[in-house]
Amino acid sequence: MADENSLGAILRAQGVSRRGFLKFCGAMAALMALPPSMVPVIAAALDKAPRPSVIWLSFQECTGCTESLTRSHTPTLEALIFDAISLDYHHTLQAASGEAAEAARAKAMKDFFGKYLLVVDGSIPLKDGGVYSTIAGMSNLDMLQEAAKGAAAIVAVGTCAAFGGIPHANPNPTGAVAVSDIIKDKPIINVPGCPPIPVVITGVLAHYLTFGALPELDGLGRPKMFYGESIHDRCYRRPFYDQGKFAKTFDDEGARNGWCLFELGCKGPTTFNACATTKWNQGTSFPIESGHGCLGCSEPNFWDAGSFYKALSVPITPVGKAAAIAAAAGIAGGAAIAIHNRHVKAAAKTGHQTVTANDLEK
Amino acid sequence: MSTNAAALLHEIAALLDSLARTGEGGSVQLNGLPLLPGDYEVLQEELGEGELSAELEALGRTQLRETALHGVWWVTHRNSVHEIVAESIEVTRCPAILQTPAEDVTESARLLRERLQATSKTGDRNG
Repeated sequence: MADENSLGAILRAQGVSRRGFLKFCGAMAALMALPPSMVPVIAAALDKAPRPSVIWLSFQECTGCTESLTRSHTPTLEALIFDAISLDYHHTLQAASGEAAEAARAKAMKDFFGKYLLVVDGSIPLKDGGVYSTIAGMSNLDMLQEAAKGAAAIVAVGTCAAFGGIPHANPNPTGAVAVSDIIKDKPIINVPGCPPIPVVITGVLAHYLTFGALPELDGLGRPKMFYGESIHDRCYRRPFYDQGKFAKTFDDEGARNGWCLFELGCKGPTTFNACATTKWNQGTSFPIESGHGCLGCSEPNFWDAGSFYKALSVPITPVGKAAAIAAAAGIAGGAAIAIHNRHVKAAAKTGHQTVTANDLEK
Repeated sequence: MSTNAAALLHEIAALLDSLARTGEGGSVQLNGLPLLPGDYEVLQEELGEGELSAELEALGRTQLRETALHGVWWVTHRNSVHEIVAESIEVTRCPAILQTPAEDVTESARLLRERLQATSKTGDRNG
């Protein structure tokens, strides 16, 4: 019998039947891109998983990440997972305020030392002793360092916490940095996006609950199951790219026919995220499906990577050539394009291009 | 037919072969795939409507419909406000979620015994 604080027991206490729990685990498996044969394993693990203590710190941020997670009012999977954790501190969501709130944080850090999950959204300003963002008279830097000590792992939610994000953008007046720039001795999972997709946030929590370990991460500390493929590679408009069919303006025939938005500045080829398949607003659509290119919000320095409306590279001839190379060299060709595009992005960053009216009219 | 729908149908054919030969089928998760507009409708049309359908009420309604191709099930999981949370095509003789979980069987036996005992006690008192 699982103990009464296990995830399974909590869900059953909420009236979730065993078939309902299986359905939940099946959806979780699909979310984590695991085969259906894993469902019984996930069910057995989640059933016994202890309810984890979570401390959520919000630093230099817009609360968009919390909005992303909590705006799903419907009893969705993310709501279920969210109910199943013990959220011991989150200064936007908790009922307590002032000293009582800070006391709750101190208590959770003491009671669950070495076991709690630390979730951070927002970047951390370092300039002038970190005076640009404080909570209860404590700088974000001090609070992060204090809370990180007893954390089992840190989840950096949103591009600001993962890579510095918008506060870090040129000219970075507050000296904003990412969590990983400060904390070097704890496992950190980056869950970037501006904001991240809600189920991606909870999917990472679910993975941690299921396997008691961090998911496999890419070179930028992002879980591969959600950030393993580019938007471009999973985009339903990809066949048009391969055929060389591009929208040239937002109101031309190509745009009306739903052709590829590469020439209108879509950052899909250099952006790794799950938008193209998981989608937004309960699976309604994602930006490209609404007719606008990807901004690349889950990548480092996306705000400074050149205009949102400038193509990554001039497509028709080079892409034709690159595609031929890709066909010949298999996956290596695709990698070559990605490296080339990253180079273009880096060059744009150095030049610090801004959006002009001309870009928009292009 | 678009290439994406055709590719899925080939995968389903391969899963059917496997189910027939080894008893092990598999499933295709639809909400994780980059489907072109129209792909979904093509799949529905090609697979057709079968003779069996079941509904499960747990965390919202789940519909399990066998398609015109025996052994191919279209499974749609919805939440309590009818939004689709997961959708898949399962190649199996019977979707696992339809079977009663073993723990529930044990619990049913216990519940019924308890109820019978309670009734017999009440019966004693009245008699």
